[in-house]
Amino acid sequence: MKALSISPQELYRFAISLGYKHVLEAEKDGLFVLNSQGGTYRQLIFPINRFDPNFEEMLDISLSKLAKNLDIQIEHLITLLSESNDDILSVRYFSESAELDTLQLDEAIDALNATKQLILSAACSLDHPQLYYPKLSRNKVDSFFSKVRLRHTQHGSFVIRVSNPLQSQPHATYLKQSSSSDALFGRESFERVEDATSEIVDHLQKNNLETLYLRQKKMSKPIISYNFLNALVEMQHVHLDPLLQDTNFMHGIEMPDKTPFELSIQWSDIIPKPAKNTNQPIRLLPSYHDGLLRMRDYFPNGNPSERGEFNGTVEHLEGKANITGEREGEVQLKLKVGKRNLLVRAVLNPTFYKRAYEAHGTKGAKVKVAGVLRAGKRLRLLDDITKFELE
Amino acid sequence: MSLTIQNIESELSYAYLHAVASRAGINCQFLNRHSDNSGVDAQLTYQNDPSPTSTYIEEAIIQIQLKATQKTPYETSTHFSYSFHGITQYNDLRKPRGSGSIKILVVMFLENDPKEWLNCTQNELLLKKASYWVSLVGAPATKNGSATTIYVPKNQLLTPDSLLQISQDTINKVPLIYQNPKP
Repeated sequence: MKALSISPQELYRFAISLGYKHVLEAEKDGLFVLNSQGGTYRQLIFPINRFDPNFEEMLDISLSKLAKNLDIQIEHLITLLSESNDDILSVRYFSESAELDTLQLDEAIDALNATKQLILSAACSLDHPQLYYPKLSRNKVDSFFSKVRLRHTQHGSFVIRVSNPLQSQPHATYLKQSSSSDALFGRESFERVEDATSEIVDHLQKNNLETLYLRQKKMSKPIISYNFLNALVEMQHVHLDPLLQDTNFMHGIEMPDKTPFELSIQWSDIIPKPAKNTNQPIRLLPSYHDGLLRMRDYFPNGNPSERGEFNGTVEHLEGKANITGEREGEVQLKLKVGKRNLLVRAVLNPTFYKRAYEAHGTKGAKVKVAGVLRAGKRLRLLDDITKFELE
Repeated sequence: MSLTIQNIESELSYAYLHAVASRAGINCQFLNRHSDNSGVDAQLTYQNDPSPTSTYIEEAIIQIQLKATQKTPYETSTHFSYSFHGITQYNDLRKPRGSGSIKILVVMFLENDPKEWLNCTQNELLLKKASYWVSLVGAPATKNGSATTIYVPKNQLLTPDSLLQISQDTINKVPLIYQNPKP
């Protein structure tokens, strides 16, 4: 990346975002003059017009000063500047105990595909909200996604960085230009990724797995889909280098099977940043994996489902008390489906849960249930339950 | 000896500049001396104390190309002559710079005998002989292929005061123009 690819307006905006103050008086001389409060170098001076004969040299001096003040290499600064017109979504795989320099190629490819699925799911949930997308594609979604770019990774951890360009015209003046509709839709899609992931992690931490699905199901415009959850599950399939695991094992350091990762978004200020701009990455720990799988499997997944009435027994109760003190939530049933006895999950309201509790506590008790039996990757799910009775 | 004579000349010219800049309270940073493509060997940064009457420029950058020679220069009553090698760098030094920065040449004239270059005693560190500065902005173009003669004013000794003056002139946009000696 060459310094000359940086426009005066990009450097201006970047410096302002760092707290530099603009000296208006200098504009009459065709100069941007920006002052900082601290740092080794206090002042950046460069022409407003990139075709000024001194632009290259003055830009070079300013970049050198800024890099020194930020204590980074100038090449890194140039990369940061080139990204200032984009929203950047980062998925960072890391290890607490070692620098992560490589990933298995297969897993890296899966992680990239999962990132794609994550962004497309979020975009689809804006364009045509539903709980499952047989195909993650629509004109508006495809148009925005065609502009998303993969960026450089960073040393010490493995980072997938994708950017959504917000500025449609290169070298625009420092007044904020209006962005294209693709760019704005892209901004909303990235916001959706952050909001949906935060909500999922919140439910995982509180162990409210079924609640997430029930809430989304009630919404006329759900924001989370099977596809989105599946993308997060796929992202968790990245494993630590076996050599690193062996080395740490020899030193008595236990390593998790999967690699934790964190998702973060760096918002460009070329359009006003989201109100909820927290700058905090969202961590997905290896311990979330089982919960994520279960959460995902609540959602419809496009596999054939079967509506009917089934007989069976209550095998396991996993419900919790709600705010009124009544118990509700997930139970495991063994249902006779055709000639087979299948283990099935079901999420019950307080009335049905009470009956399930009674059945579970009575030896040999049987239940009759009516609902939609959905195929699942592990346990099947009984959804849309309309009847739950003791026989 | 791990340094050649030319390396030692070069290092002493850096040492001279660094000592004078430090005494003047000016930050001195050496750049990558072994790739001469940019023609900048050192960069000084001077920060002005802002006052209500001063210009909006508060920080001057003085980029310096350093040269050193042990040859006795030709001289007039007012100037030393110096054979500048590198026409590309000469032409670059002739160009005026943007606001807040200047690029100058500093030439160190050393004694003929290397033993005389530097002496240390309990009382002093003596570095001989002296460095002079010159701005080549406005210097005449040349048709030469590899070298051209320039004239370094004898009254432009590199001292803490002269560095401070160059810095102030840069901040106040006072042009520092090359002048050939009068015949």
